[in-house]
Order: sequence, then C-alpha cells, then structure tokens
Amino acid sequence: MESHETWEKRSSTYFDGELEEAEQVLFSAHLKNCRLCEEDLASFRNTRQVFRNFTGIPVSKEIKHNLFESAKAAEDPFTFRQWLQESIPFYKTRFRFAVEFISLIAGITLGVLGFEFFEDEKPNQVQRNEVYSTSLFGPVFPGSLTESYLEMEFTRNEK
Amino acid sequence: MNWKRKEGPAQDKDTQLFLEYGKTGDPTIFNRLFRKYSPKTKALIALLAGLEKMDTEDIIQKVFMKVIEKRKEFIPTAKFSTWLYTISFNTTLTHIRNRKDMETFDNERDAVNTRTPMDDTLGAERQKHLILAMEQISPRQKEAFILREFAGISYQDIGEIMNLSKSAVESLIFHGRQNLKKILGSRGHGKS
Repeated sequence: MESHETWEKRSSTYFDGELEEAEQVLFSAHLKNCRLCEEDLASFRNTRQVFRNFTGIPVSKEIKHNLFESAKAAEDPFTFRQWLQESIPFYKTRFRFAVEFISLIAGITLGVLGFEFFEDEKPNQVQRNEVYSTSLFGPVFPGSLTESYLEMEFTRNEK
Repeated sequence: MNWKRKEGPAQDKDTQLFLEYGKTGDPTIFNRLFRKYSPKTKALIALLAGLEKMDTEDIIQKVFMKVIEKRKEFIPTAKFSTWLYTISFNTTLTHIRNRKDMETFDNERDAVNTRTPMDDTLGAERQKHLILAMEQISPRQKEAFILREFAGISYQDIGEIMNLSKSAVESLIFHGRQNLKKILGSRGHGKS
C-alpha cells in the first residue's frame, strides 16, 4: 500500500477534478484507507464553501453609467456594406438549399408527368376512340360486342 | 446543410452573446453581460489586490473599458468568463505593481481598523479570517488559488493566464491550500 506522502500532492488535484481518469480511480481507492487525505479533502471542502458564500460586490452607479456611455459611443454605425457582408453567408447557404430543394421537386414532378404522358400515348386506341366517339350507339367500350359489330360494318363499307 | 454555426469547445451562451456584441457593438448586450459579471469580477479584483474601495472601482472600470475596446479581437478558444477574468487578473497585477512603485504596500492588514471592499459583503468571521490568511501565503499561490476557487478556471487556463505549466499550477494550488490550512489551524479556527 502506498503511503500518504506519495498521494498527498494529488489530493488537491483530485479535489478539483483535474486528475487523469486512471489516477482518479487509484486515488479514490487510496482514499478509502487514508484518514489524512480524507481530512485534507474535508478542509478543501470547507474553504470552497466559504468562497461560495461570496456573492460578489456591486459596482457603483457612476461606474455603471460611465461604462454604458462608453459602450454606446463605441457602437459601430450601421453601414449597408457591413450588413451585406454579414448577411451574404446567411443567405448563400439558404439560397443553395432552396435551389437544391426546388430542383429535386421539379425533377420528380417532370419525371412523373413524362411517365404519364408516354404511358398514355397509344395510337391505335386513340384512333379507335375517335372512330367510335360519334357512334349512334353512344359510348363504345373497347372489347364490347358493339365494337365488334361496328368493326364489321366499317370494313364492309370500306369494301 | 448546416443551419447552425458549428460550436467550438468554449461556446456557451455568454460567449455567443459576446461574439454577437463583437459584431454589432450593441450596447444592450454589453449591459446585459456587465450586469451579470461585474459583481463577481469586482470581488475577484478585491480578493487579488485587497485594495481600498476607490482602487477597486478604478480597476473594474479599466477592465470593462478593455472589454469594450477589444471586443472584436476576442477569439472563442476559451469561454468569455475566462477571457474576462484573464483581463481582470492582468489589470489588477499591473495596478498593484504601479502602486508598489509609488508607496510601500503593507500585506499585514488590521481587519478591525481598515475596511476593504470585501467588508461590505463579509458577514461571517470565517470569510474575514480566510481573506487575512490569504494575505499571508505567497502572492503566486494566492493568485492561483483565487483563480481556481473563486473564478472556477481550469488548471490549463490558469497556466495560460499566469504563464505557467499545468504541473506548476497544481503545485501552487496544493501548497496554497496546505499553507492556508496551517494558518487557519494555528489561529484556532480548526478547518479552513
């Protein structure tokens, strides 16, 4: 077991939480068996408590007033150029984001519309619908008996 | 896409507020920080210097004037509070050095006859005796001890402020505490 003298100098550092992790563990183990180190830590705790009771000293109103006036005098005057320089990074990032977002949405939208457009493009069916839309029989659905009858009439007339 | 500025290790709220002050120079931000930090800064100066009331007011005015002047030079590698206490520390030491050149400075103070700024807030006898005991340890030990106990600054930062290595700071604080324990023990106050 290491003696108190070996660890004594580390008690203050341990108390401040500044020891390396490994040393912290070793010191904690040493503390269980060393009354002198425990007394040292108790003394440090008492001193810290005394300091914690210091609430601070208020500054006089005159000094406060002088300093505030100095701060007001030191305020940078507004310039458009300065505002622009400070704002550009802010808007640059957001502009880039907006452009990327809009591009993504536009790309998806165009993709969906393009797909639907080419999907609908079936020449035979369009022509068929055109032929049958003026039929006296009303709306003629592809594959129906009416369509078959009308097809027969159509080819017979052509002949 | 990152909407927020990436935070460095020391960007607490007050540091961010001070960075904003550095950009805009808005006096209301300065006022807010001043109201928060001035009492503790003044107490720190009083502890370091143990001076008469007028000197402490002079020092604190110098400290915050420097804060206003150097607001654009602030780099957030450390917290704003650490930066402020560094300025306070250096300004106080410079003031003490200049004062010593002009007159003899007596470290042994009679707490009954001489009022210090701390007397306005010190109710408990323990606090008064601690202040007196600190006047009897070496100045370097006292400075390191106060920066750690009162300002809560890390050993690393204390080393940068006092231009010392971390192990030197450890040693100063340890010996400062041990000496205080002996002084306060010999005065019959038991534990410090």
